[in-house]
Amino acid sequence: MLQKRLIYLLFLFIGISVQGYGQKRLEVGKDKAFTSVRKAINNAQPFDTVLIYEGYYKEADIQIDKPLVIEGINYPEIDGSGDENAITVTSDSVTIRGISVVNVSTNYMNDLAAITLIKASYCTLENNRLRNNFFGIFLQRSNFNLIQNNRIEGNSKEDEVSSGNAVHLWYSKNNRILNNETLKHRDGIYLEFADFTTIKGNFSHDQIRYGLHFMFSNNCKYIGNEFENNGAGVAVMFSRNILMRYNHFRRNWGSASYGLLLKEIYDAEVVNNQFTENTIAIYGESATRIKFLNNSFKDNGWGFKLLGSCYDNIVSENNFINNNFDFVTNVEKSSNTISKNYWSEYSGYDLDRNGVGDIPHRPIKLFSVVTQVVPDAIILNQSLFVQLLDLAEKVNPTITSVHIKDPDPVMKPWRLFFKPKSND
Amino acid sequence: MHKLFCYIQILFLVAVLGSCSQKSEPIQFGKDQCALCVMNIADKNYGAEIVSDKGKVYKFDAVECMIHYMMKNDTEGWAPYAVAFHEGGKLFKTSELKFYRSVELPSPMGRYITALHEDSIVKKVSKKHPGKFYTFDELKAQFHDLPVLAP
Repeated sequence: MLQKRLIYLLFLFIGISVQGYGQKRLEVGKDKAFTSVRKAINNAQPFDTVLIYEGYYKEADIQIDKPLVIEGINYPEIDGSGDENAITVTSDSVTIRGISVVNVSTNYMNDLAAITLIKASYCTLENNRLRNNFFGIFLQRSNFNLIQNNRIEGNSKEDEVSSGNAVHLWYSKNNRILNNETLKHRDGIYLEFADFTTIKGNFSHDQIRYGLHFMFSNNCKYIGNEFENNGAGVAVMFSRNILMRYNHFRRNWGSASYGLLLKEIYDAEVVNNQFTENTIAIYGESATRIKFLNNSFKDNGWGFKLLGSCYDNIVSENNFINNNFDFVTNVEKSSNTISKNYWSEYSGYDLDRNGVGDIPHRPIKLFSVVTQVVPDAIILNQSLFVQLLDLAEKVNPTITSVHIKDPDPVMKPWRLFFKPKSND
Repeated sequence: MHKLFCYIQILFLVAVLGSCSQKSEPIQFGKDQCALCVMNIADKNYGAEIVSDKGKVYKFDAVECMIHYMMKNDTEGWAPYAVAFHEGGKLFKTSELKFYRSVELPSPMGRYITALHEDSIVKKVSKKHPGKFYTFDELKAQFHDLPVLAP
């Protein structure tokens, strides 16, 4: 017993001595030991801290090839203009905190970024301000990293696609992206072959293309994010097992804009999300086995647009309030289940007072079928003629599918919750 | 009067023929959508376009999307174009392009196909990134058997 305790004690001492190793602080600043960030890093030992004081440092191609803590005081500005990445990390366990990186150039040969991680894992990138860069944070084959509380602002203007993505993950797994603000880039967060990614509490707005974009990335979740005024909202493509919860998709307006675009996606959950003022709240193509539960669709052009080969989806207990068209599909008989939703369009009655309408609701309007064939006909929407047509179709359906219906529409909107709980 | 009618007829004929020509149309990056995968086309280094025999234009965000489309649809006699790498998003006939596959050049839909046009860029790219050249017809013929590239 005593022997065992001694061994524990021994381990404790080893632990303390390892912790003691490399606790040096190297200071960078105008009147400090180092005036150049690169020199300080070259002189540092593993596990040292490099403190960068407020100031302007015109240094590109800073290489971090050992575990270090890089910490800025009052956001020192590192100007990375030139033909290189500003900061490249090739070691595990690097922390970069509180710095500002600006002006990394647009380059069509190389994807230059403010902070690039190459085969670097267990790193933390937090509280940084990245502005006017081609790419913001670029991860290549880097796993288990934490990216949080950064503000990443691009330089793209309307109709210009000269900027890259704010956060770009490529062949990187198990990373966490939390509470960042990204704006004015091509995509806010772009995942390609990035499995097991967690994306929480981010605010992605005013991107040229998508607020968040999945490609070939499975088993990911994004929770409690806000996506506003992006070129085309959020796109989830060619992926499986994605959990989408407590997000808010707002004001994605434009002829080809969506709140959420689902393409070639299987086994996903879209739960407790808000879709407000989007041209098309959810657009699905080849989307299969997806649960759409407890979402709110309010003031959108189209609520749901499911086209071709969307099978075995469940649309249940959602609120459809004040959308121009609640539901559009081009499949005659669908294997999708629609039930117990609230439809503000519903004009049925509830004589037995059980809270559920006595006649089924058919959410597809005649005119939405017409606009699918002749998009320009939308100009006639809300006209008396079209309202008459819709009414006639409702009474005696001839063109719209009779199979797509909500057999038990609820009379009162569901009380829904959109705030993530702490354990999500 | 007869002459005027003749002129009108000729004008009409010209208009009809003109509308049938297989002319390519520049891609509006950030605005146009891929006809196959519905993604917005945003990368000026990648993209493709095919013009049908009746002159209808279909745009794609990547060459692999266009090849998929050509396999799914009858595109006999249609004119395929592709965006050349590093030339500002300009389209060229696929017969004028060299297609290059390098694991260091990922294309938007994950098949690592890059179209190269100008000789200096061909040299620069092939020197910097190891890979293999294909013609468009080779690419199409071997599409399902192309070696899988992954880093």
